[in-house]
Amino acid sequence: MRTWCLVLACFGILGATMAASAGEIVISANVQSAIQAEASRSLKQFTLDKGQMEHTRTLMRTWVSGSMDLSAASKRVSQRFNRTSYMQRSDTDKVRLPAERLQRTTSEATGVGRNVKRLATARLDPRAVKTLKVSTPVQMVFRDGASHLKFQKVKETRAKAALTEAEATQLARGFLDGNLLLKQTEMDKVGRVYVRERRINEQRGEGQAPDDYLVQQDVIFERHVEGRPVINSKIAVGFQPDSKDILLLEHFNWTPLQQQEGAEGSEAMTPRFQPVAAPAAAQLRARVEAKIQETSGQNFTKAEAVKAVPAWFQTEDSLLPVLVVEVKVTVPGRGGQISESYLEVLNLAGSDDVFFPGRTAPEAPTAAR
Amino acid sequence: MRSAVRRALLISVAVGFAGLLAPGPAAARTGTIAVPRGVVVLKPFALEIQITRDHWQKDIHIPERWGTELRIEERKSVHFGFKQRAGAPATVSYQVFIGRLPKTGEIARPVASGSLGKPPGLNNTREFDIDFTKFLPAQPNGRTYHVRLVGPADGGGITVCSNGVVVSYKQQDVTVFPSPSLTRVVGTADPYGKELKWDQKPLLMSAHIFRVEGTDLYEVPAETVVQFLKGSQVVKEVHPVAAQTQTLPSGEVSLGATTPSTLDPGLYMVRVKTSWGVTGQAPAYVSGREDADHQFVGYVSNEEDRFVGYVCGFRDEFKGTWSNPQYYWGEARFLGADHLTFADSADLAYIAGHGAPSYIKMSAGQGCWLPDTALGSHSTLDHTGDLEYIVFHSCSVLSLADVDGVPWRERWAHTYATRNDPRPFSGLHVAMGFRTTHHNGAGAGRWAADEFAENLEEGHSVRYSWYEAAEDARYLAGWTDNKPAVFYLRPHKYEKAGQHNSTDFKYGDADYLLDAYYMK
Repeated sequence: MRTWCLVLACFGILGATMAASAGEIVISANVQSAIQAEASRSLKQFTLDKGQMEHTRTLMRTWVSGSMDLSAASKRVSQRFNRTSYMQRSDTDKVRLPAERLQRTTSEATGVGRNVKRLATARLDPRAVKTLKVSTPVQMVFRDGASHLKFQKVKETRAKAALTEAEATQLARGFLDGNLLLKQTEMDKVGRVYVRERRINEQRGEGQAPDDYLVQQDVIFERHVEGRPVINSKIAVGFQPDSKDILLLEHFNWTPLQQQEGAEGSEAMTPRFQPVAAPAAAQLRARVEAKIQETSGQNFTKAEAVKAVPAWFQTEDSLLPVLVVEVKVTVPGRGGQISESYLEVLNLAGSDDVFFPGRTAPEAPTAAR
Repeated sequence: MRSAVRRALLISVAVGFAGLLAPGPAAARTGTIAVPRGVVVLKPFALEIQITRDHWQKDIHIPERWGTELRIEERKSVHFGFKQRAGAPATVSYQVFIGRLPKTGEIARPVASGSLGKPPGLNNTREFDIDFTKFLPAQPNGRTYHVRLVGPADGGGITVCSNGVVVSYKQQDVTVFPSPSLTRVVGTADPYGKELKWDQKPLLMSAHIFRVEGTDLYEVPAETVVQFLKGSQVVKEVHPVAAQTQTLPSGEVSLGATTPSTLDPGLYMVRVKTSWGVTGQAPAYVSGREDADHQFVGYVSNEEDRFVGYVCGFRDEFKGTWSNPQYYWGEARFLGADHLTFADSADLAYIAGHGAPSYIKMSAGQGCWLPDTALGSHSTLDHTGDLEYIVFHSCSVLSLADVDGVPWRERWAHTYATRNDPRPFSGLHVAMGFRTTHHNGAGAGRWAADEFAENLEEGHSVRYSWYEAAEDARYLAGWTDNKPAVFYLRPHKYEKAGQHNSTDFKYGDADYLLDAYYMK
């Protein structure tokens, strides 16, 4: 009897194992190489300067006050995103041009002891804000979160011509630099910059070519620390291309690194960090495979890690080293196989739970009758 | 001084002419009487008409009563009295006119007149009769007659010397009790006012206005209801909507009422119940789940665990706002053969799975080619579909690229050539997703789903809510794609989720224009 139970248990385990490895998982050579490199590297975790973030918030709120009356706007608090959203409709359209500059007034102190820093405060220059009467009320939104600030004006007017990428980037960069909304150091600075277009494709009538037109151009600034991208940081400035009216200003997870005491003002800024013990290569590979298996489920035919890039991820308090792995998964599809790529991110400084703060485990659906 | 003399002479000449032109006392004439302009109306007599004589009705004493108006229903002699209040002419006459009294200067012929001789002294009263039988028609003609007193004026004119009193010759109104009757039931109107029908019967769309028309239907609004019957059983009553009630040129009344959302689709008899009784019955087909509730369904492909997180991310946030009767592992039939039971049973469907242009994998081995699906209230003839918004949290489903030479718009919406084929936009308002590959990365998928729910709750338009959610979450996916796209019928461009019961459009409607908002 005991023998039969053992045989049945062995068959059960074998069946479960076969079902679990329904598809083939492949780690390409260059991914394996990247895993080895990360395992042998001395890793670190940077501390963030929240005081600088608060200063950015003050500047941003000052700028937003030229468009919205935050004390009168309707507001909603999101527990999930730890932020307050302000919404307001206005019968006038405040045109906010990139040449507008906040007027610097006094300076405010932050920090204690020898680490006290003076940060410039600013006020709005009301003469720079041009007010237009509009027939359709303009909807505006401002989101104020722990490390996420976003102003948006919902105004979709057809642009006669697009700005060139260089022109749009220059306008956005000038605006951010001129208003102290972008803080850079030698180590922590803007990486790739690119321009996205928001477009509307309108149907004209049957048999007629559609009317496809541009309504907004968004300049996206990515962040690089020590030459590696911070995958969840960005600053975006969106324009109406003709008027250059700023329709979007977003400051997302871009908290400057905290400098070591006494480093402020010195030529070489040294950010504060903690060393991180790198995981062993075999352990890291096993995590990559497990993650692919977990994400790709039971029904793929092949999942291949095709590329791996070391990067950073900003949490509320620190900047963590991560490894981003691109996975190409193949599943049966319409008339054959379909392939999709997706990215897996592994926290090299600890658990991957830091990517989803406050998130509960998802409840699985049930089968319909 | 000379001018004053000239003015006096002119006045006396004018008065002399007026005297020559003016006729004598009215009682002496039967022809036209001209009341010259400028004559002073002194009214020294207060004229009244006797309404009741002093008498007894059994043991109840009814005193005489006088007034200035009397209604008579038969030809008879009427008693009048007048009292002198101020200086009076030497003689006095009465005049009877049909309709109103003539104005000063107006020429009018009295139907009767007569001399009353010398008036009574100051503060004394004289009574007299006028025999109305001489000039009233045999049957009450509904007209009014005015009586006044006149007297000779200096210079040969006349002076109006009393107020006018009124005698109306009409019968007492007879109360006619309303008798409600139902002429027809009119189905819910489409956006252009055309009545919807199902199998030749009026089609009443759930939660939309339909009409019942007939006579005497709305005499007492608070007590008027439209009843739905199954067999002889009244299963539902609704009050007409006052603002939707109107009188038709035929004199009939047209009552607008909202089809109850709690009625199961099917054939009913309809009638109107008023405080004066119930009408006859007429058939009508109740359809549609364009109900007043707010529901969403979530379907997850079993192919990857991350898909659970997407739908769950939306569900966790939004289930406190809208109800969520279905959260199932995906099956192709949810959008296909059984769409009325599944995707089309709610207002919003959130689906996560692998995708390709116009194609969604609902689960392993269960793909769905979307141009072969029809979603929304126009997806079936009985209009029982409910879906307005659908999210494909998948790669490339909302691709704007051609597939086999067919443009995206023709895959999603009807053209003349495909008007009888299924297409997703068959009452659907907005479809959302990505036009490119979608990467989850460090949680872009669930972030976008959460954010979409938050945006809807903040009251932004559905289109904006999805686009911004996908855009905000994009940076968690690293540096690639995740470019959002939204397909929407133009009237729904700025529609908020709470407005999902707005009119659904179909091919042939002028506003059936499919647009896209997308990131290039």
